Amino acid sequence: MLEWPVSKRPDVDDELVDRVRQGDLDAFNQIVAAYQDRIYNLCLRMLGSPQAAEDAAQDTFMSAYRNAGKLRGANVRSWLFRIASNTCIDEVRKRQRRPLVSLDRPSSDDDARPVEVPDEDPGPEKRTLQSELHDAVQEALLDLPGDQRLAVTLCDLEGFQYEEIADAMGISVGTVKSRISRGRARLREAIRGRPELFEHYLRPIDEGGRA
Amino acid sequence: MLFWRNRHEVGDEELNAFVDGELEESGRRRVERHLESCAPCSEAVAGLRAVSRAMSELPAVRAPRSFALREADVTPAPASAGTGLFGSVQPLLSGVAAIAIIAFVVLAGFDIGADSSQGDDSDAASIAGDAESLQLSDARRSEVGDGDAAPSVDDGVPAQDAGALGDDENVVGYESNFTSNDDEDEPAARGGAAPPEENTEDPQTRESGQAHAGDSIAPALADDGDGMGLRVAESVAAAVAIAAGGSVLLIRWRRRATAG
Repeated sequence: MLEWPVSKRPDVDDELVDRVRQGDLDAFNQIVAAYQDRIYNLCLRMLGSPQAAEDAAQDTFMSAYRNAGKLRGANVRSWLFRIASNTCIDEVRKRQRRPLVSLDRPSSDDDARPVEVPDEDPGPEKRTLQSELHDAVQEALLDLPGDQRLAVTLCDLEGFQYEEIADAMGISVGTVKSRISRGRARLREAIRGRPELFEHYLRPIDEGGRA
Repeated sequence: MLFWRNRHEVGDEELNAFVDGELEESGRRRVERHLESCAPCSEAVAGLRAVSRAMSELPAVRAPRSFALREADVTPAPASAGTGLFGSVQPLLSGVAAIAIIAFVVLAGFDIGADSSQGDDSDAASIAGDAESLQLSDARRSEVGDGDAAPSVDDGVPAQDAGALGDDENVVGYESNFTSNDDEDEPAARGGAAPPEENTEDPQTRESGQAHAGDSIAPALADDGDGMGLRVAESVAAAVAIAAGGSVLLIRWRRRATAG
């Protein structure tokens, strides 16, 4: 799952939550600063386009502020990801209703393109391979139905437990299991279809559950 | 492939839960024991871990800008009635819908009153817009045919006189303009849809009820001939009410969806 050097776990306490609930913009912006990288990344993986991700992230925070009165307890992360999940799923459905024709790749999303991300420089050859790997994974991810995409992304990128995914998506844990299973099955087929890129992912790793 | 293992003792969802560390201790041990002797499941687990790893190794991307909200972002828009073309026409549409509804109720009330007074008690006829009367009137229309329900007017006869014309003969003549094969059946059909006491009602009472209900509105409509004016006005009012009201609801729904 993702490591977040740029966005440390925020120090969200009850007092800050109380202020947010009362509409304190400064308090709310502390939460924005703490979570904006993670929210943006979720949107980016879900939508595939930096511009769409930016819009979705902004919409998420706008919606969160408008609904700050509904924030209960101090579980800000769960609350924010629930809003972000809804925003992303709405956007995915909107795109499915009015898809644009892509000449480069047939996809359920319109302007979704593999995301170009500056990695730490590992050298030209490795950089090319890594970039291809990431593009291929992102493409396969974007070909999943939105609900499966979201479940897998929350699980593998954000490291959410099934219970948390169920909470964020407003579904049962049983449905989470089903969506992750179906989503991963499709991603796995994509991996098998490009063994030259995914060889190192297919190497056996330690058994006994998630690291 | 995962698909052929559907009837396997360990299912795909369980293997995913195993990979994700979501199984209880006993379940985890059971899967581990199974994997020791089942090569396809071991291969499947390796594939699932590869997928999970491929996903988790996607690089974290820093947000391209701050998403902090400004005061201007969260200050409510001053125009509470809405923005844009739809927002500006909404009050007008609301007014049109309200007027159309009132017009429909008044017209329908007059229609019912006039209709009831033809062969009904005068009290019911005088209550414009009464829901029970409306149902009664609708029932009659469906039984007799679409043409009968404006009996307060006859060909070219002002409605002030309609009370005096409220006997069966004139009604039959009126009916014949619309339902060509109902000339003789009409009184029976009307009686069949009305309360039992209707046929025994004193004609004088009927006349007074008719005159009462038709006093104000009928003159304006009687000149249209055959009561069609009343019917058309009712239909137009209903259509306008539905169209304007529907538009208002649609605008509000769209605004709420946008805001939400």
